[in-house]
Amino acid sequence: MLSEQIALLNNTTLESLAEKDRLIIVKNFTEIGLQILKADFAFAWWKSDNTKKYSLAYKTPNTPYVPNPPRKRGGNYRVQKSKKPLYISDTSQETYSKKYDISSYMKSYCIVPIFFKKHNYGNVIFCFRRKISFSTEKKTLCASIGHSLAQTITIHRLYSNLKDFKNRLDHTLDAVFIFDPVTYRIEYSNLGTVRQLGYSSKEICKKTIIDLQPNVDIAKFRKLIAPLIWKKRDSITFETTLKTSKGKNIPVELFIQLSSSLDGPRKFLSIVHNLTQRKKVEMESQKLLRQKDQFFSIASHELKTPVTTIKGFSQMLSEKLKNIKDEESRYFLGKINNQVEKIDHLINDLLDVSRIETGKLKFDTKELNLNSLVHNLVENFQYIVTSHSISFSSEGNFWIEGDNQRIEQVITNLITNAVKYSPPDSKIIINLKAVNKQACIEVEDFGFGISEHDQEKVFHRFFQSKHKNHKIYPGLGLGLYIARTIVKHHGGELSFISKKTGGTIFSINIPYTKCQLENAVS
Amino acid sequence: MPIRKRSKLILISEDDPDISELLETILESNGYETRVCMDGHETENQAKKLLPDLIIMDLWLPGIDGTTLTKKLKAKNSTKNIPILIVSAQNHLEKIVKQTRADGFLPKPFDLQALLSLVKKHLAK
Repeated sequence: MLSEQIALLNNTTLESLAEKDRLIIVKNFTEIGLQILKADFAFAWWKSDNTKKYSLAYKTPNTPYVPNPPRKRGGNYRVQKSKKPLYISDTSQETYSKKYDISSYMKSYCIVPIFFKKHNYGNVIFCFRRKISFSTEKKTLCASIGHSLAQTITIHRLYSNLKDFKNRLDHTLDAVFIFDPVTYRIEYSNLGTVRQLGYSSKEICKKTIIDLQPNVDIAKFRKLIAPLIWKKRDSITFETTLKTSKGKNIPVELFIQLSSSLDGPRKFLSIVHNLTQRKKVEMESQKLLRQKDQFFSIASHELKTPVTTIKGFSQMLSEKLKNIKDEESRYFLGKINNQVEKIDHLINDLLDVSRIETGKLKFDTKELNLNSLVHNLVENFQYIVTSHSISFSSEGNFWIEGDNQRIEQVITNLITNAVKYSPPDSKIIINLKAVNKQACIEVEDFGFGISEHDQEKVFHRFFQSKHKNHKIYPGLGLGLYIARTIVKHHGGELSFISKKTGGTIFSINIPYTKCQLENAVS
Repeated sequence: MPIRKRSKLILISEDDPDISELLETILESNGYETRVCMDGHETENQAKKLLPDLIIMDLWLPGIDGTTLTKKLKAKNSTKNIPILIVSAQNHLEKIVKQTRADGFLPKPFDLQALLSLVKKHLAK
């Protein structure tokens, strides 16, 4: 008899797994429990996952009243929170039943908890109008009903979570593949694959991941995924093209991860992200940058024409005024000339930034002697700048591979900044030395230094120092940004130290091609 | 009595009238003879006809542009020995000088003294 009843329970388990709704599973087991235990009526509580409150899940049609769900206070039924069923053989003897006056409906009842591991799903209450005693067999059956129901619900839960996960994966917009790490054959693909590449799941499962990539052969692919195989990396991402079912190549980003389950074989999980839109936007922005560069080229050329005229004629006028000894007018003309020079520099800076953005900043490199380059520059500065004393010393002779004009531009920028940001009559020291097989040009001033707040922004575009203790200096804030880009292009680094005693040392470090160290002082 | 040398003739190829006037004025006041051409074709014709001692060449010219014209003049036997100085607001003049086989360059805006010494240097060759 017992085995028959257990078989009935197993059958209910199998049938219930196909159900969509958990409450139907509860109903199935309540009905079958009623039959097995020969109870008169039964009902079940369901405990909500979120609110942890009990509600009525099911009651058999012949239940003589509507059971109120158990509440913390009040409610006419207790719940069984432990894993073992609770058996009440005589309700007239039980305090709880007396209190809520339920002995008129039933003489005996049992509460079967639906408990799996630590999870309490609810209770099923089987009620008897006659007074019965719970034999060992009945108790075993009660426990079995509870266990079977709890197991069924747990499996159902896991299954629907898995189904939900697969459903979500199937419907992601990105294409997702799972493929074999040895044969590279695709074993799973989601609906995103159909949408993006046009292949059906059946079609794609006949292909390997290499078949899909027109520009990648097996050797190249092996090389790409080697870090995954050798466990040097957890995942890799690279850009490639995939062939659609219609033969069109689309740019994609492929993310590949070697996924291993506890006992299953290792598989590659791959997520394909379509880059068509991104590439389109990139091309558009490249086009815009090119247009901007063209605009800057033309605009700077056109701006330089009037600058040339103003500069030329003011210089000629200056010569004339020199002849008639009108020094005051010459002084004013000098001011005009200075401003014209500034305009010229601004135009050049804007043009350079535009070139940097489009990657068009050109370099004409050859071997340069740094000593003579720096020496000539310093000499020019010494001639023009009367407010500061500028000195130059060198540890030796250095040659680098570089663009003469561009390196001059960097050093000029640093010396100009040193003059701009240090008080009149202070020193500016330029030093050329060897540091770690590189030529290092230091430009040291004794000025305001760079505040901690500003230090990380110094090389940003359009950055301007706004120190509270000194005035705001005019300019576009492009000089150091351009200087750093130029130095980087020479394989070097531009850095600075703000001295605690005041002042800054900027250092240009560029690998030298030749160096002769001596104790030379120029 | 010393023989008076003919003053050197400089052909100015420049489409901006103010700049050409500036070049004309500064060069003439330094004893050079000048001739101004406002476009590429005119420069080409005058160069062949006058065989000047030096040409100051702008790059953005109507007609034939300065780069093409310099290459053309440097390829022709009768004009290949005339020194050509490229004076332009365009970047990377060094490269253009190499490409066109021009003799020198001066970026705009230029310094008058720099212009004069460059002209002097190339006329002395």
